[in-house]
Amino acid sequence: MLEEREKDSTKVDEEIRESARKAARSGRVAEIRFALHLARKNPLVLIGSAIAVISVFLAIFSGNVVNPNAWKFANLSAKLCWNNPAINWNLQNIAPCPGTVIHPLGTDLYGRDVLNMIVLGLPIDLEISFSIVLSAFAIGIVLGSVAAYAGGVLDEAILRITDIFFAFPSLVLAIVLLTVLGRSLTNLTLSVLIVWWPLYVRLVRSQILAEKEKPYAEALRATGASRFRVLFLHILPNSIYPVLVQITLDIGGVILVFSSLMFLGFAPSPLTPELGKLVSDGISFVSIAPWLIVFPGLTIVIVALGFNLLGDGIRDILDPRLRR
Amino acid sequence: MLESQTQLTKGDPSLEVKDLRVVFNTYAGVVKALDGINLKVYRGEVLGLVGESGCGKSVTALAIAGLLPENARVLAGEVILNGKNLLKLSKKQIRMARLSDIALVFQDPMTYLNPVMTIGNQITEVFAGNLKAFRDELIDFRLGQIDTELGNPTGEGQATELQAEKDKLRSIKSSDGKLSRREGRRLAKLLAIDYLRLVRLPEANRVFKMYPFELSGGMRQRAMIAMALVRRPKVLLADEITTALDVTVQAQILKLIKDLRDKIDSSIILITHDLGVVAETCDRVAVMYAGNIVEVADVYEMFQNPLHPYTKGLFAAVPKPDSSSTELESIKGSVPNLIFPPTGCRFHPRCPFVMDKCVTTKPPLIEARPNHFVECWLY
Amino acid sequence: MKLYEYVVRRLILMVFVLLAVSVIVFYLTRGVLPPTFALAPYITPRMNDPTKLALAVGLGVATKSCPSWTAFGQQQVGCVVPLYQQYFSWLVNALRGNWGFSLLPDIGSGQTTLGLFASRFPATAELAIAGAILTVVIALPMGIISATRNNKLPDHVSRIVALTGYSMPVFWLAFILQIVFVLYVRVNNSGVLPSNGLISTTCGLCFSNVGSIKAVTGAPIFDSILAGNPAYFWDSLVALALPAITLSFSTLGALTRIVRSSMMDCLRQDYILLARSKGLVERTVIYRHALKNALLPAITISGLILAALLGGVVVVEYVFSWPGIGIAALSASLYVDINFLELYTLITALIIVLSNLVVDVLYAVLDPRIRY
Repeated sequence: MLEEREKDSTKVDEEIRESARKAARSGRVAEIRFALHLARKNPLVLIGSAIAVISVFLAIFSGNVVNPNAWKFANLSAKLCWNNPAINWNLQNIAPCPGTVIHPLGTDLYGRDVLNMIVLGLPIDLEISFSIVLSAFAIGIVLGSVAAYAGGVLDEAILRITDIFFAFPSLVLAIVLLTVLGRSLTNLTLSVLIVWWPLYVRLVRSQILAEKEKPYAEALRATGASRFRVLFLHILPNSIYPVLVQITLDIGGVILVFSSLMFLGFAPSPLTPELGKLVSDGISFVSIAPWLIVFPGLTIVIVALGFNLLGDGIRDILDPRLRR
Repeated sequence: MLESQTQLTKGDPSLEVKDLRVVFNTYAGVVKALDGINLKVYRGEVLGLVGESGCGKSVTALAIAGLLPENARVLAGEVILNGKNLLKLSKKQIRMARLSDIALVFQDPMTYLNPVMTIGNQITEVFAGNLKAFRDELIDFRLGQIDTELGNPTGEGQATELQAEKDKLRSIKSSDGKLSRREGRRLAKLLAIDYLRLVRLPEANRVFKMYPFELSGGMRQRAMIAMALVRRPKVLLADEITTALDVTVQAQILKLIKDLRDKIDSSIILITHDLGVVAETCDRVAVMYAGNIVEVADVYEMFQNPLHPYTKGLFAAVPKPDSSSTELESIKGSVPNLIFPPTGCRFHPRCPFVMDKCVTTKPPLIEARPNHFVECWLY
Repeated sequence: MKLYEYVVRRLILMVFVLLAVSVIVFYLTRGVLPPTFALAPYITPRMNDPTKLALAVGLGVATKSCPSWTAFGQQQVGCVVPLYQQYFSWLVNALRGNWGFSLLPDIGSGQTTLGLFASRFPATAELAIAGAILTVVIALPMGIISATRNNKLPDHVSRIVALTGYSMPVFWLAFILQIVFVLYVRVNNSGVLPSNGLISTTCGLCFSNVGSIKAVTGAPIFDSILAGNPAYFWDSLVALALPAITLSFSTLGALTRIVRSSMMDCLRQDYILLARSKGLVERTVIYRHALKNALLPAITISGLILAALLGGVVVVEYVFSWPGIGIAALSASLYVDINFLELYTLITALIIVLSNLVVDVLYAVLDPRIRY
């Protein structure tokens, strides 16, 4: 009788193990199928990531693609001309370019090839964008953790300060700062950063507060782990996902604000080939050389779009509620 | 043995489910949730649908009401109510069926009630868009209410008012006229408050104006029940309505269900995983396992003579405070993965009486004892 | 707490925030720039040095013991009042309405800073309000349709539209619209829509003869209604079209996304299942049950949207030569007219904080859970 029962129990155990294996396999299959499904549902996400990656590469290696000093040299015989047969602007007063060199996106007031200018300008935007967003993120982690852990008056004070900075629209404070501090790339970075950091402080703080209350955090503390250990090794990595999404989206957003500032005329030097500045250079020639405005701006749109799509995609993948 | 009372009131079933098969398409695979369900519910009875979590009880309720999520497919089967197969109705027809024939009450009244609408609004909104369909019911109710009040008038003035209202309502009904929106709203409010009283909510007038978060869990559950009953459904599906409540509140709700069963005409399908609830409240009980109904019988009969090995295991697993053994009995194994369900009888991997036939072929539902049905090769 | 207690508490907080904003702006400007900048708006050309010094003392910037204007200009020790004291004098003057004269040569000549601001404000208000209305009117239905027809064609279309709006620099969109509607789509040899200004009589869709109206509010849309002049109204509406569309395009992207995601969240909730099980028509389920709950997060975001609008206004005014405060602020930046910049920042902050208050009150009104 006992052996029968034991035999039965091993048979049952074997069946359980088999079904567990099947379940695990189907679990892994489920993950893969889910990821593929997301990719299929959102082909745009793949496009976005591709754009983002390509633009970063282009920015890093722009010096190899285009002569990095090309923005310093003028070719006045070929100024404001267009000779790309693929697009017909259909406007009066469009001047064709002399010579045989094709300028795919036309030339500007100094005869500089617009495509070259765009490739040279892209690194500036991306670099500054990254540095602003990452600095805001750093400030956010520091102040956010302090606020979340200190609680009480310190927390309240930090919150009120973020409230104050939320009352400034981004361009307004930037304009004031640039007026008094003068125009330089550092000041431009600073003036955008000063409006951007409160968002990260709030975001990090709310994530940490939520994670702190979770049972695993309590359990960790109960085992004697120090607060710092809990914070850095466990809570921060777990709270990072929405912040990551925000970072990706913000890279696009900061490019827009930054290029707007350059467009409005706050550029440090008159010849910088920054994308927003290129657009503003083209304003006076809108009816005879619209490409000066269209293409640099289009580049901004594409890059911002790429990062926005990427951020959206990351958010969709990480959103636990979309999982079935 | 005691003859169950429901034997005497049987006639045609008010709801019949025939061989219902439902699957879900998920990323992990196809979940074969319902594997040919057969169910009959009779007028005025409380049928308990009992089983472990994940065996398909809620899916059954949703399938009957046509509320399955998008990734579900009904592969086969019929759900017959009022002679019509609910699964084959058009969207509008199903909606009308939900309006007046089927009502659901769910488990957690906090999440199932709209937090920004008053209780009263959530009850009466059903009437607001459907005054034509509910006209007679509203008028009849009010006429009945007026008659009761006329039996005890507070004064001459009130009696004349009531009589005037009665005449007006009668004329609307006889001339097949329309209830104005204001009038409809007023009557709906009176009806709602009456049902709030029926479910024993104190100060029904105040509750009508309250928001869900202002009420306790038990009160919210009663409000949900009132919301369902006010439409006078033929079938009321109660999905684990007591699971989210404390034991004392649970007892009150169950008593309410039992009292209502006597007062109203509906059949009630009480879905639960708690055998105690079944024992106390139900007339008949159906046991579900892994998408199959494995046993159906009257409550007393079931508890006295459980036939299916699973049912036997369930009853044995209930801890008895006065038993001498210190070990808890349990059924060997665990609930099967419904993406790769066991072949033949889905219970065979855990069955202590498993035979070769059980692995290959699914047993049919047979009447092993009078009015006691079971799906098992043992019989 | 009661509703009015909540409002009072928020108002006090608002005052505090505005004071803090003014302190920050004050220190940013006066702390960095030499004090002569601070006095420029108050100095008229005919003043001689002693008068200037007296003015400086009167404004609380120079000490009484300062020997001369030149000494003050050189910021000699003991001549300049400490910054925090300067702040209080500044605050008193500001609250009294003494903001000095505008330093802007073209648009501000002869005007006080306050006067210039007041005269330019209506145009910006007209633009911002139009942008806000367009945003809401387009984004709400788009978001709802997107959520209810999830993953079908209308959803994809609206997501792409929202996303592109979100990713476009405002200045670029402004020009593209101008290029298309002024350079390319032409009627009678002129662009179909005007490219700049509050009103134009030379565009394709414009009336050429509109008469004149009395400037009551300073915003032509309202003034033309008040004056009962439909031609003027139409022309100013046509002139408002491109700037308003440009302004709203980016914010409508953000609002659509929020409405869409919060609607989708709501539609997943359990109470929607109960509502459907009651036999309610789908339309009722969506609008009465889901939308009411979904609007709450959308409303909270309107504060941020307004902030974005007020920032974008600067660029739009610049591109379309719209005579509002944004374009004046750019000019003020060029001519370092600190007073105007301070006033501009403060008023913008005031608008944002006020609208946040309104939004929060609205939220409390709509969501009964907040009230208790």
